[in-house]
Amino acid sequence: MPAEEDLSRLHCRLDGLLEARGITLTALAEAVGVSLVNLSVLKNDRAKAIRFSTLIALCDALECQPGDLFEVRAHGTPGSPR
Amino acid sequence: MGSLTIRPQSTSRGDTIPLAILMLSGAGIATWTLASAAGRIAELVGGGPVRVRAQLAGTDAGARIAAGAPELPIEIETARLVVPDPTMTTVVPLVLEQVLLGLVVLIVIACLLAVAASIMRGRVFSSANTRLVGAAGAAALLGAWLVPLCATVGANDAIAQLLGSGLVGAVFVVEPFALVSIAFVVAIAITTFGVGDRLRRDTDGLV
Repeated sequence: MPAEEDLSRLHCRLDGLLEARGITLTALAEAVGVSLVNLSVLKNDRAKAIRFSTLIALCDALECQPGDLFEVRAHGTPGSPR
Repeated sequence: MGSLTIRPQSTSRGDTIPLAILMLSGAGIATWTLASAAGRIAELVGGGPVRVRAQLAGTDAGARIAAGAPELPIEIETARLVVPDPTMTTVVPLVLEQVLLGLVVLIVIACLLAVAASIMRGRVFSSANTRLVGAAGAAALLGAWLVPLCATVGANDAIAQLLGSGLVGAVFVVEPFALVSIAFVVAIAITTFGVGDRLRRDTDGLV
């Protein structure tokens, strides 16, 4: 299991995808059936894990692949505080 | 790093009402127990005759069950003795019994009220709740053993005083079934809260 600090290297690109598709976080939450609080946690890189069901629902709603949603930043890149 | 636990918005009305009733009942039981313990202590240290409940194993006696009925041979299991002038060796364990009883009830109910309040705030499993359940269980187990022990020491001394001799026919009564039952319930509760807390930590930050 990766160390706690390594998790900050995973960045969720939800912000960019929402902007590109003109969807609000609230609308996405309704579309995928995930609470706004949880989507906000994911968007702000504070999530520690994601269910496959959530990932599939997000990819379906945003018409993208998991790789479009996440990127792993290189070591030493400042990430969002967790 | 702040906690990422996503708490339930709130408990439902169906959860809240029984919990509120439980909390009120707990407060009522604690108040009643403390009041009766205080009354008993006042009776014990008051200086007058003292009633002492004694477990008498298999003591034969005769009693009229109904008015006008002939005296029947009976076997006494429990009796309430009146000690006209109790000595300190009778009074001290009986006072200690009431102090321990009050203390145990207070600790158990305070811990359970804190757990119930936490549940009402939407936080069921946490390390604090696990510790509270453990503390309540330990207090209940200790009380179930120590309170009857003090009562028996006092009762034995009362019997010895009344008979003007040593220990006769009194027994130390601790219900093994009750103790084992309490231990079982406590173990199940601690395990449940412990496992729940671990699951909560494992799913912390899961979306």
